[in-house]
Amino acid sequence: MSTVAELVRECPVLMPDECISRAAEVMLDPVCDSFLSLPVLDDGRPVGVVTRHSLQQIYLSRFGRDLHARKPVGEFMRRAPILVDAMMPVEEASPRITTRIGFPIREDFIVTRDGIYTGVGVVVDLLKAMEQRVARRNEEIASAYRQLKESQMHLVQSEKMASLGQMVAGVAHELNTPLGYVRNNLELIASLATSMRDMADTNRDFLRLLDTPDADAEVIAGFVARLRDEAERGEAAILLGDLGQLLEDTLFGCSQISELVGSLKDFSRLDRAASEDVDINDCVTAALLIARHVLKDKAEVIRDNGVLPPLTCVPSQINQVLLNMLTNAVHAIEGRGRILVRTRHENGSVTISIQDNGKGMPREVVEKIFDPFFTTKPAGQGTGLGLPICYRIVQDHGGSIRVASEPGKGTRFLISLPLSLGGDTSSGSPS
Amino acid sequence: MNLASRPTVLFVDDEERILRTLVILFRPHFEVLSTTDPQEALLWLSTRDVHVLVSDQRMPLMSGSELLARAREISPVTVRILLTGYSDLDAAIEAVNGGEIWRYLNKPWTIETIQATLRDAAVVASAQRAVLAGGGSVREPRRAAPAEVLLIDGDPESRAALPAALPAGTVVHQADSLTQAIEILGRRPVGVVVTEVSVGGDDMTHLLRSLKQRYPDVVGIVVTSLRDTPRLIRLINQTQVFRYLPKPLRQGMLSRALEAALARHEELRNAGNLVPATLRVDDAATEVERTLSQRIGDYLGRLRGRQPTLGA
Repeated sequence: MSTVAELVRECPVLMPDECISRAAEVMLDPVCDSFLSLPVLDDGRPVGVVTRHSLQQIYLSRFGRDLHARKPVGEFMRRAPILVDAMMPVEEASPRITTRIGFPIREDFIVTRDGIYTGVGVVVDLLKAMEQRVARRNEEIASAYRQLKESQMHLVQSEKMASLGQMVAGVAHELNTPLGYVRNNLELIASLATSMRDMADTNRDFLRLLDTPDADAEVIAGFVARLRDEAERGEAAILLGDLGQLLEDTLFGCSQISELVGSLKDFSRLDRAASEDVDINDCVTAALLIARHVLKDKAEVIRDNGVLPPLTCVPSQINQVLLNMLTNAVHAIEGRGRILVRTRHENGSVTISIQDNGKGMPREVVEKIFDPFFTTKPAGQGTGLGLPICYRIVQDHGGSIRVASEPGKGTRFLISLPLSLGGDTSSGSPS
Repeated sequence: MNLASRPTVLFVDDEERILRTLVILFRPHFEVLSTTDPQEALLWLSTRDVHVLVSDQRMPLMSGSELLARAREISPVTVRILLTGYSDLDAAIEAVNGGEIWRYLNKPWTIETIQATLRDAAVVASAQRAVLAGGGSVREPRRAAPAEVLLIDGDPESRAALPAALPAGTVVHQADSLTQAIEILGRRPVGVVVTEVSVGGDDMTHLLRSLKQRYPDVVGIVVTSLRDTPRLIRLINQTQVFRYLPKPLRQGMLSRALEAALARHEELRNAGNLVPATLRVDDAATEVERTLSQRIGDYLGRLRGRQPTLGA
């Protein structure tokens, strides 16, 4: 931190008993051009200043020179000079000096060290030093602001990654089930095929035997008994039935898998920003599918779909909001509960209501839920950015989120989105 | 095959396609029951003789661990298996402590694994029935010395909690290393082992497995601050862990677990030769584990005064 010592200039000094004419001579010296006053010292200590202004007054008044030129400086000096300690920081010295200095500026300030004179400082230097400090401060603030903005973007990104991770985990679990039985069914079909081949082999062998002229009657009887037994037990029919069932289930599993993969693609839709003709009911369906693994054993989901007109929005962002709302609803439910998702078209807007019968929130929590970094989850489990980001996304779409909650009864979020976008979503959005 | 002698298996899963696959797979060798409704499963358990119950974990109406715990009350002889695609520690703990599951199987499964597991489960189930029926070769309850308890854990909290949680007069030994534990097991009639997962850098899973293989009547309780699902699954499938108690230990929970463990030990000891062969745990998976188990086993065999209940 810079101190007043940096502003010190060397300046000629006067003694209290030196005469006015001597002071005037000194003042006329070019070294004094930049000074407004001369310090008066007694035994190294400043006792006053003689200003250029006071000398001018003496010399410009009638007979002033004849009357006063021989008198000692001590009689004419200003006895209360502005004193500043050399070690004082410039910032602290500045207001002290400016409050004492008059207008127009007629004197310089005297810099001392432990009361002993070290030099003179001029106000212009002080102003320059202050200006530099302000510029530096501004730069610091600007850089802090940039950093803040960057880290905010990182946080938004990490929240996005968290919701992406959640989505991937959800879909992975959902894929696991059909993938599991599709694979098992194929293994089973392979082993059933072996049984079918055995049956076919038996039939072929039997036919060959019948074609053999000297076939052993006992062997033929054995074949007949076996085939009859098989037929009676309906083995072929059972096999075919099983095969049919397994193949049907396998096909169903494949369609489940492709539906999941499709929804994942729809869900993220990173390939486009805003899209027209989005049906919010489809977004709700996709979000519910992605959240199925957390919903399944926690909540019964009841849907109440209104007939909705197409809406212009960024679907991946709306999906993120819906997924966030649904997972919050699940987390609010202790044991098993119910989530009601209702969509409506009213007054040029589409509204989505997500209501749970979970534990609800007290008023002081409700007031803070959209504040960044506010979380009721244990440390490390929530970023505290989920809802603020939802809020921002909905705001960027020109819509609003409202919340109503009652402890012990549940919570209801109401999202309202205008049918057409007012502003530009792609620039202001956090994607 | 004699149809009447076929064991009955009950599958519960909310995905009916999985049930269909299991039915087609096991119909040749089992009486197969299957349902998506846990309530129906409980009804069957109380009205029919079910040898093996295989349940999914995440179902809309009732969790698998809850179903298994209720199944244990209704039909304790039914061998219980959890079949799940989720790695959920709390559910696994509940399935061990409440459901006393015999195996924890992961989805997706392979046909070989599930067939082998169910075959073994059926053998265990018949043996348990024989024990309960008081089959001819069941020994008279031995008037042996009461079972003693061994704690393998350096944690002062466990050391303080254990004696207070045991019935008065129960002898407790404490060890803070594998060597010390083996030495005590060799000298004393220990019936219940309470252990941390890892002590002095040694994985206690190997000790528990070797013990269970040689002395199936020894009952294992794991007390731990680790929260690690794969390890718990190993403890279930390889050591037949009886209880899994997360630290910090709660006195009530600990004493209930110890009481149940001592009772189980008594039951297994009285059952004599019948149980061991059927309660065999999975063979060690790797060569290193086999070697280690063998070493521990040999050492125990040399030290321990009494005859192993299982003929090697």
